[in-house]
Amino acid sequence: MITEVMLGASIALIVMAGTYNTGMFILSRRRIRHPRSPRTQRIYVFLLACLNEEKVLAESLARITALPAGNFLALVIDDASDDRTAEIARAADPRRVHLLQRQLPDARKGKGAALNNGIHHLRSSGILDGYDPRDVIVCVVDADGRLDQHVIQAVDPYFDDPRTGATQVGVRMYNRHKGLLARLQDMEFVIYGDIFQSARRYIGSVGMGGNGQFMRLAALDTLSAGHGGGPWSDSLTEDLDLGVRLIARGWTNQHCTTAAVSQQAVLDVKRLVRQRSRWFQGHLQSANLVPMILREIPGRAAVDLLYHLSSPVLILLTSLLPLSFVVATAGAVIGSIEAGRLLVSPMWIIGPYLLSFTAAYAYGWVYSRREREVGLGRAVLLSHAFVLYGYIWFAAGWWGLWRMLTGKQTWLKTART
Amino acid sequence: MYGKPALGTVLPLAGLTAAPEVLPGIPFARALQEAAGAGFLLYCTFAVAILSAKIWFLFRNAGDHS
Repeated sequence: MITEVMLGASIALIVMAGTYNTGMFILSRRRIRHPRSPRTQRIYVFLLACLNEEKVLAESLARITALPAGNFLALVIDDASDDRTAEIARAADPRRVHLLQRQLPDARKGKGAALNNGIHHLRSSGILDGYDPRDVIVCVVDADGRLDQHVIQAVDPYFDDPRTGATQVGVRMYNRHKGLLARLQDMEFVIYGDIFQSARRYIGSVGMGGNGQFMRLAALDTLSAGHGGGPWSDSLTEDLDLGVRLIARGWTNQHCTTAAVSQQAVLDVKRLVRQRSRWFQGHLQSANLVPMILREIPGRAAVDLLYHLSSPVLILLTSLLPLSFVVATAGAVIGSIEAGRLLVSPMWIIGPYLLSFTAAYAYGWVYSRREREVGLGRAVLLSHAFVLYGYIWFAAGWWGLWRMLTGKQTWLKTART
Repeated sequence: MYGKPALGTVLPLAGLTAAPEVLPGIPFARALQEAAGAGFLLYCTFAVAILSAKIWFLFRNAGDHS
């Protein structure tokens, strides 16, 4: 009896995840209308926290300084780099690009600390004197981030709504043509943005992604109030943490589907698993947000965020199931060879295929609409590979859990190529 | 989390319980699936407790505003 209950529960786990994903897909297909309201002239400040970014920084700054909008600037926060990062920032257009150099031993304390220092510098240097914090939009961009040229025009209308605290744009991989792994990462971010983030606009639980993340300075101020340390936490996933705290302060997070920031895909499986392990560990740390969600976030958004924050647990649990499948399949093959006849019906394969890969058709359709050069047929084939690619999270999850249990907090950043 | 789409992709394991004959490795495969099920039951227990706390906060906040 107990065995049957546990087996049934494992099936319920899959059904729950499948139902949630299907619901999000349906919700993401709804169109959202933004009320028109009087336009305000705003200033955009791009923050780039950089630690040894000489390989990618020049290109990112070139794209930022070439933006067609008028009122913006960039602040490069050099986190005590050993390479030419500061030199590259100094060589950029001085009317647009400012440099803040952090020094050891205060530097290299994580991205959150660097960004907090950047906000403090913006205030203390007088750069923002005369601006209303409600009309200052701060954007976090990774050093390898390449913003679409129309990004400000795309994002600006979201801030016409005074309740909007932050807007996340889509994320793409600019080197997505360099092999299957890069392509699958591009697909991963497109699906996450176009299905999950889009659906979460209706739920009120849109998350922040750390790259291409636009925030109203007045909203960031509400996160700093009381402790003076700055809006960002020292979590490994400071973006997730910040997005949840903004919602808890009563701000609305938006997701913009009409502009994107492109970043560099990781081209090596081992480095990719390590990167995802870091994210996974940060996600586990974010469990400390649960009391705040319970107290301060309204019902529907709270339930979705709690599910989102608990997804690492679900990933660890579901990781046992493919392993079970592999063992059973191997057993079936060995048993059939020993018996000299097929011990399972070939029809058994059809069910697993339909159950596993039906989602691939939806993902392929979504991706083909975003990436027109990849036709629907090829996108569907790619999304079959994408379903298997998702299993990377299982390895990353156990690694991240192990690091957390053994008290390891430090991570080498993902190297640029 | 970006891995969320992967959660819905392990459905084939549901078919394991319907394996028609006893095969080598099946006991271990079933044990893995049972472990996942047991973990999920524990997850549901925590989820019920947390959602109960949320409902309590909702009623308390509604009382504060009335």
